Amino acid sequence: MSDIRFHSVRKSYDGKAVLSDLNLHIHSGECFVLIGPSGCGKTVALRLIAGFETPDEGEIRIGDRVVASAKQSLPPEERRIGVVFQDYAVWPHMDVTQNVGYPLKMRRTEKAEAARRTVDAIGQVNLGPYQHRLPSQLSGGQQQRVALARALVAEPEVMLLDEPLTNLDANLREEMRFEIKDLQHKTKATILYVTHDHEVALAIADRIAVMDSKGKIRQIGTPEAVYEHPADPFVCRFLGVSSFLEMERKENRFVIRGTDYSVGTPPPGSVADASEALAAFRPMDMTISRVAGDVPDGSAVGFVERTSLLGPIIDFRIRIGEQKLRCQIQTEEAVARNVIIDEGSACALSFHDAKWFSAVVGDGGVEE
Amino acid sequence: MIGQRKLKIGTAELLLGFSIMVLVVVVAVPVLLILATAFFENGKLNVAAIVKVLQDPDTYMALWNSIVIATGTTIVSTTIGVFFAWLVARTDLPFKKTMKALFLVPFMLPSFIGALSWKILLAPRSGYITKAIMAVFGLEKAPFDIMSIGGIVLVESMYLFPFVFLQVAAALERMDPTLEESARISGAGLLTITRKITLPLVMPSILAGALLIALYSLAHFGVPAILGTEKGIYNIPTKIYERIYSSGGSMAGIKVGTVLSAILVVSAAIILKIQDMLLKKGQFQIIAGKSMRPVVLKLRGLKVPLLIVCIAYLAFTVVLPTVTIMLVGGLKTYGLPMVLKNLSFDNYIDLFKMKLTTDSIYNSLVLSIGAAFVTMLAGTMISYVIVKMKVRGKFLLQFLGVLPFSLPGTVIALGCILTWSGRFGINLYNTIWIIFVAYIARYMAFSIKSNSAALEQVSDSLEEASRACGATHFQTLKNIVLPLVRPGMISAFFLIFLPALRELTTSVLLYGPTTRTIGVAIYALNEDGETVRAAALSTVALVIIFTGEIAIRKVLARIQKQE
Repeated sequence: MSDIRFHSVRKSYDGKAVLSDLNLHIHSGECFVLIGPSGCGKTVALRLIAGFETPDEGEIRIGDRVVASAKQSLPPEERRIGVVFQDYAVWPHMDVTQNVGYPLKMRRTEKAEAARRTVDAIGQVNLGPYQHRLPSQLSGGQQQRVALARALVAEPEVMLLDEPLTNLDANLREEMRFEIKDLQHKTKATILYVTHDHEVALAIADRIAVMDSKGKIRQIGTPEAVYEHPADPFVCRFLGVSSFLEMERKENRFVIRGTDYSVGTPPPGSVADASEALAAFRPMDMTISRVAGDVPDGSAVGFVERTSLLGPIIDFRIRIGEQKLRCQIQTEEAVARNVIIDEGSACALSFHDAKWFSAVVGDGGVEE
Repeated sequence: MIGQRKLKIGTAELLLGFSIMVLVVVVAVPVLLILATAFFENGKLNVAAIVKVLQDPDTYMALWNSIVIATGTTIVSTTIGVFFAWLVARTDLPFKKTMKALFLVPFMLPSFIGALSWKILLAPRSGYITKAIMAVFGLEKAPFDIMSIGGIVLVESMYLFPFVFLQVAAALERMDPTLEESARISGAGLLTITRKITLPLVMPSILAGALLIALYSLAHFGVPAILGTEKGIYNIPTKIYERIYSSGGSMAGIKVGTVLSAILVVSAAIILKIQDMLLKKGQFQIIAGKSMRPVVLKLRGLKVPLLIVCIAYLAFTVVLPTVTIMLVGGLKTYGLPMVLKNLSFDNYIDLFKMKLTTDSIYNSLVLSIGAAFVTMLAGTMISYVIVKMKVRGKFLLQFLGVLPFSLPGTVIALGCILTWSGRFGINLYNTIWIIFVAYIARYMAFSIKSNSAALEQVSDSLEEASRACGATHFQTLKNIVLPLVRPGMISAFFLIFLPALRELTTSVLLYGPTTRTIGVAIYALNEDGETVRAAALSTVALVIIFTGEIAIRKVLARIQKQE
């Protein structure tokens, strides 16, 4: 299998830079997810690998082959890739077998061999009974499986998936997520998966790269690493609901701006000596309770502005001083501990797992 | 490996180059030559010649007549079209579906054949109906004269109203009925709703249809040629024809023709600009894609009378002229009373013995099939470049491709004369090929529109998927794109084949001794006073057109079922 390298790749449309200096190394055989807000250039990166676009500057390699540079570009058909598109791109005038067998036909695979591999690929995505159906007779999920089988059948070195699950409904999306992961284990292909959906990204990736709206990569790492230790507020916010509290230094510790409440101590590092900082929390990074007596260190008193029951969890919107944050708790636990606090009442919050960021503007603004 | 790849001319470059070549040769050069001939003499801008043409009463009368005829035709046919569209779409008129199909039949009847028939019926003195009325009422003079501007307007309106009818009926049927229902709930009466809600909402469709008619009528040759020329009534196309033929095809005649053509082009451009503005303004999201059941007005006591009006209208404008043409085609001599003993099949048999008529039928069939096929293929290629390829300057291709749509047939014919008379070393004059290239130019817009619509349905990812699967650009075109646009190609073929079969305006300026088309042959026979033979040939043409029309509908329906 092959790795993929971007070396100083630049691409702009109508004078507007989409990718300004992309350097990226996708390891051989890994499932690499490129995640970012829509319009950030992640799809452009994928299309550059596929050969649907050519870079203005820089170089792209698949394995030891330079597939694209500013001067020359290998056409898509010579790149030995498999692509799965958001809109399936299954050919409506061909049945399932014809669709899946097409790459082998184009590569002049011997007939009997091609037929065997086509049947195999169709079996792998569980479409055996639908071999002779036309796409119009298949559901969206089944069509996307045809697309998957078609991308797999020629055993490409590289598989490129562009938001392949976005058009599917929630249940199907979850199911397909596992199937893709499964197929990757079987085929050992290098996968680049592009999406804006952090749940899919975290579930499927070996490594994730988070791209901001200017096409700059903010962080690369394992799902655990980027989720637990986001490099900046942007990454933190992009990978799930997050609340940010502005902190200021008072005497020798950080407190929530305009209050005396602390949220814990930052780890030694850049933030520790600053006069200001940002603390980020996932909705479950705090415990809510009723106000009773003293407020210990690492806790705060706030007001519940809204309480919503979302089934298995309860979601609180809480104000502390001038700042707002979201807190969630399992419904079962809330009932057991009697903390379904009415809107307008005070509550106590004890924080854990705060993520600390430098408050310096410009280094990773919170905007998406 | 990348280093071994040479810079070579690929499929994309070939497609682009070929598209540009076709459009430049077939469209750009003729149009530019017309403008150059009209405005320049010996390399210098020559305004005096233009002023001279415009000051000549002969030519400015033609311009005036063109405007009067186009305005009159537009008003009359829009009124007829809107009325029938409303009846069919919004009332409980019986047999609505059948009536709707029948209202499109006037489209099939070539208007110059209609004009011929009305001349036979209503000409002063010789017209059959005129004579009957004069006899019954003991009149000295004919009570009316079809060979007048009013007559031209009436005859054109009879056969052009389906333009408005189609547009408006479709809009009325697709209009979201909740818009009217909510007005009704607010307490508005039916008259108020029609005036304040329905009419404003379908106004863009009415205007679009009306302007299409104006455009068509302004540049129409057939009806004014048959009803007007004899009485000295000329519009621009007939004046161009007259000038070129009276000067024996000399450069002086062509020069006047190009100036008049330039006027036509400018008028057409203005009309299209207005239409574009109106359509853009009228793009409220009122017309939903899905079909819904609109509120239907109960006609009650008027049901049967209005149905009779519809049937009478069709009988009067379609059946009467058709039957007249068929019977006159069977008369032994023109002017004889229409009784059985004067009728025979001799004329029809003669048609197939005369070289003029057999040639014309053969030419029209070959030309329309050939031009439709070539234009279909070229249009597919050009549409692909326009819709799918990312190349700079393709807006120019698009402009050139749809330009002929706004160019009157007369103008295209003149452009072809200027281009293909040996100026560039190729002389096609008097051969069938000059008509062939003129048809390609004239119908290219139809092909591009139909193919572009089909191509826009083919998402880019379908092609990209094929490339990623290892198919070259050429293989992708062959395996994926062509099969998917085939319906668009087939409809392009028929959109061209049918009008080309009955074409007159362009071919009348381009025909040679052996290259008459059916339209030209009918026109020539009529000019020579061979009315019965003209009628007989018209009958044959009508039979070919109607059979073709029905066969094509069957084929298209089958294709749609397969999709």
